[in-house]
Amino acid sequence: MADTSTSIFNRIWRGLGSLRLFWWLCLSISSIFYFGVMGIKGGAVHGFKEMNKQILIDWVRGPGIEKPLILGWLFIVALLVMLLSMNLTVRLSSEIKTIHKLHLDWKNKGKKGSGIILLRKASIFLMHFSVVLMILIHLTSSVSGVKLSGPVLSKGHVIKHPLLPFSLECKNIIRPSGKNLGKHARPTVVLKPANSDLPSFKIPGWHQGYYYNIYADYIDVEPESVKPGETPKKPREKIGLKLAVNTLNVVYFLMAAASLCFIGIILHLSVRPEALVFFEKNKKRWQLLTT
Amino acid sequence: MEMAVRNLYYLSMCLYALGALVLLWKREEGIAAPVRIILTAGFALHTLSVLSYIGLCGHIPIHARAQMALPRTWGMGMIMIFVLPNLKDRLLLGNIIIGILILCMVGLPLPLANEMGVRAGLLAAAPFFWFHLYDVAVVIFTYCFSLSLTLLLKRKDSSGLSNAQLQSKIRSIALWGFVFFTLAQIAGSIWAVKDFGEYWLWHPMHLISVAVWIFYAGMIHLRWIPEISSRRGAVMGVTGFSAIMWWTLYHDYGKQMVLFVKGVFI
Repeated sequence: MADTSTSIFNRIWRGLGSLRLFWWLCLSISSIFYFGVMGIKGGAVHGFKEMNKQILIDWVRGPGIEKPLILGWLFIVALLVMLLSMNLTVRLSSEIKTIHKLHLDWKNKGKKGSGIILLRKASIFLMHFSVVLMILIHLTSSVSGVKLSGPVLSKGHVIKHPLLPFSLECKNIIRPSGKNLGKHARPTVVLKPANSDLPSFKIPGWHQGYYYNIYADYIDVEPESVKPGETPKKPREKIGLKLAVNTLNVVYFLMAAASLCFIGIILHLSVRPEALVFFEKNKKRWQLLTT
Repeated sequence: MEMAVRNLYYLSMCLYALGALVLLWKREEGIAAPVRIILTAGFALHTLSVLSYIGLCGHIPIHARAQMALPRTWGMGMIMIFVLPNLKDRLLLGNIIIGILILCMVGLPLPLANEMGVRAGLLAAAPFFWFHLYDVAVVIFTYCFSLSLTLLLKRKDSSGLSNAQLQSKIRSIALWGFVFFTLAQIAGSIWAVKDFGEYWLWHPMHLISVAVWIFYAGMIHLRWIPEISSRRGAVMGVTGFSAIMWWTLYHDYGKQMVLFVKGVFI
């Protein structure tokens, strides 16, 4: 009985870490992302960009409930990405065993060329590990940190929000003048922590771990006063500047994962069989160049 | 002057198309001398137009459509010139030219040099180097598309590269494309954190970038899955390229192309 359960477990384990599953998952994730894009661009899905205005988990709990189509799509994406992470993790666990064995071979000098194979395996491990790490980091950033969007920016206006470290007073809005401004077309806003001695700072930009951004959007206009018997006029749409704030508390981990991925790529390109054949072919040229 | 430079580019594309037509028309094996002359002349004009654009703008043009058309077609032109002298495979050469023409069509209309200023918005803040990493990746994926199409269309008795050689090349080229695409993604996200405070947005552009990246990740792993035929790898090479082109067309630039076509024909 124990043997049967062990063999079933082994089969599931092997299946979960198989390359065939990885390939199908890659195709599925790619397709589901394309379907998402087609839905947005085709106009079938609305409110997709709202997901950027708050942390994903808050969106799922709040406005997401009213968007079952996007929520369903997001659920499938999450499921597929979770499966991919499991596939890569199982693969990594078997790669560790192989690397350990190769390391022993290389140490004992038992097999010729084991050092190169060890490096090759290590590079593949690094790349796969960095991908798993990046998925985990993204997951963390989807459920933690601060992200808010929407307060209107107007001169003299004080913005208070429980997610902000302090109340902010909008001291000035500097609008650039001239034509063809390129990247200087965005206005600059000067903010000052209200009721505090802290100095003012300019946005967009980072300030004490928070990133403050500016974007243009429709703002609410107060309806005009209506006399009795008159039909109220439809308020005119007005565009104004709004504030978006977020803290990216995972940025250093993300950089570390990206660096690991980069190292893995370079290492793999240097020690893969084709590269070694290339180096061997050009050995004489290198020697001529160096002497 | 600016019109002349743009027309130089269009003329070079016409020469490539002419070269492809002669290739189809000539039945004998090997590359005939006229084809070689036409394609080399096309590449010379192409290079001249790119250099003139750089001269007039003062930098490598970084405009949405120029970004797609100029450096990318020129990169493929370079590959074509490298392949040209030693090649007996007319089909591959023809497919490389098809790749160049598709890149050109997708990047139409090419703006004039005075319109090549840095555009407000996302492209404006983009550092040139990182954006050109994407260009390199697209050029490599286009070459991968040409090789894949050749493998799919090849008859058993035709000369040139064997199926095994083509498969090996497709694998190697796809890997290099994937590497450059990954580096571009990493560099782009670091830049986005610095300039926008976020590395990821729920936006069609980001979604398609990930879709393309993961698609090619699957493709480069095919070599270790013997039960999936290598022909399917070639199909993926063609599909992946179509996905990239679809992304480019379906993005904001597609509207510009429709306007251009309307302006020319209607």
